Amino acid sequence: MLNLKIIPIIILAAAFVFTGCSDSTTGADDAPVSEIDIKTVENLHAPFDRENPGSTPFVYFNLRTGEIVDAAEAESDNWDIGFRGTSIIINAGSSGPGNAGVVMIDVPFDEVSIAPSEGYRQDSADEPAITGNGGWYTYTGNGNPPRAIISHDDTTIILKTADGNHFAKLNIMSYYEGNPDYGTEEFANFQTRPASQHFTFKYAIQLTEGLRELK
Amino acid sequence: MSRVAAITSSFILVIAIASPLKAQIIHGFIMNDEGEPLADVHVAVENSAVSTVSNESGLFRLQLENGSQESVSLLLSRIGYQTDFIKVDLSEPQSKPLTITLKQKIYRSEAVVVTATRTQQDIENVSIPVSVVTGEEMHKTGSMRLSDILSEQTGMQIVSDHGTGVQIQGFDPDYTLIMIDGSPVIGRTAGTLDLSRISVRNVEQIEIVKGPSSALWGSDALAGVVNIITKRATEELSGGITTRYGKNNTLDLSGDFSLNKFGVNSHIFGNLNSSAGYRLNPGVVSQTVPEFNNVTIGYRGDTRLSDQFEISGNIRWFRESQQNRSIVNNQSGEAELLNSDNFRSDFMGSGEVKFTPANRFNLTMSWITNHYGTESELSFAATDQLYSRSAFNQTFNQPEFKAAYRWSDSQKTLAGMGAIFEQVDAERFPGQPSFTTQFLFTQHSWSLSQNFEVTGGIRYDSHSEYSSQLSPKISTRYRVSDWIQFRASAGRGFKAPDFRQLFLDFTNTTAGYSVFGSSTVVEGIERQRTEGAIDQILIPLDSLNEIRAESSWALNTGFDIDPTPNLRFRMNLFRNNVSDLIETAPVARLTNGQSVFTYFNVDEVYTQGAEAEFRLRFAEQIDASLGYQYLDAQRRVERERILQDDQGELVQQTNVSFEPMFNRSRHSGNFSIFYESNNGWGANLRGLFRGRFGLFDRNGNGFVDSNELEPGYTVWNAALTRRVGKLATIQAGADNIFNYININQPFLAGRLWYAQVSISF
Repeated sequence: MLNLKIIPIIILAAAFVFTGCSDSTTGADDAPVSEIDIKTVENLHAPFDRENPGSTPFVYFNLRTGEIVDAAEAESDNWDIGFRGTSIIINAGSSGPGNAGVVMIDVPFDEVSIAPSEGYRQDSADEPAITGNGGWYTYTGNGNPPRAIISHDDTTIILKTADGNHFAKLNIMSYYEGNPDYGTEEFANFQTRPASQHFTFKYAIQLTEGLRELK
Repeated sequence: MSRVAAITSSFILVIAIASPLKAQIIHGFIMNDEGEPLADVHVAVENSAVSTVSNESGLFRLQLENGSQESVSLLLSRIGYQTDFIKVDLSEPQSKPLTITLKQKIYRSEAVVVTATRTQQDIENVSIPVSVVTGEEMHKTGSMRLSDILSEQTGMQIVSDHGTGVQIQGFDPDYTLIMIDGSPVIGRTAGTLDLSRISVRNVEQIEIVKGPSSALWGSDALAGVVNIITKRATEELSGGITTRYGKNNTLDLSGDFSLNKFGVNSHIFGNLNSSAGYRLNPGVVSQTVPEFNNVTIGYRGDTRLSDQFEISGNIRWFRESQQNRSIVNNQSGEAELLNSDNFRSDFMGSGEVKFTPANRFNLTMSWITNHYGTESELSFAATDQLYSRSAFNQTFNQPEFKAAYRWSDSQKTLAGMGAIFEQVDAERFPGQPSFTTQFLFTQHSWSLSQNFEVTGGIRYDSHSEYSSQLSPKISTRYRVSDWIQFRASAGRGFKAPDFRQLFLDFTNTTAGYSVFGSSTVVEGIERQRTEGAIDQILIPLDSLNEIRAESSWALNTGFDIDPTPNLRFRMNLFRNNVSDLIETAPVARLTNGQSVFTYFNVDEVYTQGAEAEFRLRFAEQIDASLGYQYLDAQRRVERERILQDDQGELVQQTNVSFEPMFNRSRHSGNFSIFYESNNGWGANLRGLFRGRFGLFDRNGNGFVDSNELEPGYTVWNAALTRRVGKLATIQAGADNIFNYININQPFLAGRLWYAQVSISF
């Protein structure tokens, strides 16, 4: 049951940059213009059947288009990030042919204004670039709420897209259907907890190639 | 009644001897309000060095230095009683003994406690914080289970985690030792010993010691000790029944019978307790508290075989069955209803022989044997087919040998040694692991004066599975004057790693990870390595340190002030530094990408706070009390964070801070007022307040943020009692009168009314 809603908000932050600048040698057209696209994806269902992993492939997502990509295109640059259960992969290294990269920083999404120039990691067979427990989420174990995957609201994943050309920032808002409040008895109780493996995330992508500005 | 006759006859004897000695001798009898003789009353002649102490029959005899005065003033003092002056006329020969009645102070002092020092001691003379809940108080409040009565004590916060436990000085229930007549109660689930297992209907008193007591009691006595002292036969023949019925179809039926004949004291007790349970969350098929019924049977007996030998024995058996429902998702993802049947049983037995070869010396040999077991069965409601079955069994045996020697009136020593044999039998602990603890302890008390005492003790525990423990403790009290007394204690407490932490051998077949206890990890990883499942070992196995017990150093200091005989103010300040708290961490990576976890000593915590209590009596009929606890409990949190500099480049930062812990209320308190009329009516009103506390970790950072606080609440309980005739008492009451319901506090059932009838003879 795929319940995918995309809310695009286009911000043309630097639309007025051209005004005073008309030097013929550089050319107004060459000045890079920051154009940031902010989207929220709700309830992306990414099931994982541990008993039968083959039956549940990753759900591939293209941040540039904001769309889910068919699993048949796994061996292409057409996707940037993939989801399956609590595993999140990027299109690079051991996970795909692309040139994606990731840094995870402990800064809230809204406060990240620029992507770092270096430090990007790729998936390896040993370790995914997007760290699970302690990375994008905390598994609560015997804590309260018990045995829950609590996404970190102050962790931001900064990505390079699979084509290596765009920077983006992303925050996983929830692993549960409907992005529920973690601080309720309804969530703490397994009988009333919403279904897991439903990702809600927001991201902002710099549409201008090579620009690191994210805000 | 026969005792009074004996005292009277001994008087006559004293008079007969005393009368020829004329006025230089003063003799008398001292008793309390209830006519019981009072021992240890200090009787001093004013402006002279002459003094004496009353004996066990309350009698004293004073010889004056010379007979020239016409009268003297006697100063009578005893701890726990109001000091009294009496004038004695010496001009005429004393023809009969003086009869003096001393009045008790507000803080009832007949309480003799054993938990603080393992010797009988007047509560007023104990140098560590001890409080006593009397059987009378439990009766007046209609308490059925241990959790009911502990919830109303200052500094005791009831919390729910796989059972109803008690938080003391900010410690989880795991860290409080619960005992019945000095025998530890076993059988914890996720660290919590469910206090609703223990009926308090046949209880003489409950002694609560706060602060670490491992120097005497060993493991688990880290936050404190709750020792339940059951009734002992004192009269020749006595007994009673109590029955209570209340909301949720809750029935409690208790009976006890005591016989003290042919030199044997016997007390038999039985309790039946059942309830339909209740549901706080209507959206869930499981009841919050399931339907249950349980039975408790106990026997306590003792006899004196000769002047030198005493033997005593104690047996207690409990069994409970619970019925509940739950759901499970079947392979096609559909929810199916399950019926669950849970049983738990608890057997405790102990025997003791006390040998007193000389007046100042005694030896005690004892054996404690405990068995706790649970059985759980889940079956499909539709087909009655079995879904799963599990069982857990735990045994505990403790032989102990103890010697006590009184060197002089001011010095006494206690020393002991023993062993604990434990075994656990459950699926998750393959091979029925068993383990042994050997221990030695000693304690010395020195009364430098009647007002100044120091007690020091130390215990050594050597365990087959984890590091040895040395637990010292020193405490002192100093009575500055009649109305103020200070006390201070410092000591160490520990909690042994639990079964999981030692012996777990668990692989989650669906997720693919494994968890091993510290005693099974090396063997478990070797096994997985030969199976080819290990990808990488993160921590070399030979560098894994032996696991240590969780331990704490604590300081407690406080004072009692009695400005008037009817008012007492008691205060205690505490600080606990806890280290080596046990957490899981990965030790190896499996070829399937999952990890192997084991247990490490990592966490640090501190708790500190203050506890204050006012007790007030007016008009002899009203007792009021007000209690308050301030608590600050913080956990050490080490965070490695990746941040950005001005250019957006990555910077790594490590910060260590102490952050608030979950489920701790900074403020909590209680209020109570008890009224007792002369014509058989009694009434009481009790209020319990719990301040804000963190409950759900909304952001997974492991500590309480300001947006994670749940609101505080107050619960009011009341009861009305009427004595009918000489034998019967009827009672009606309501707990949680204003029907406070919080789904997160499952032990609060909403408003509960009840009626109770008790008959005693």
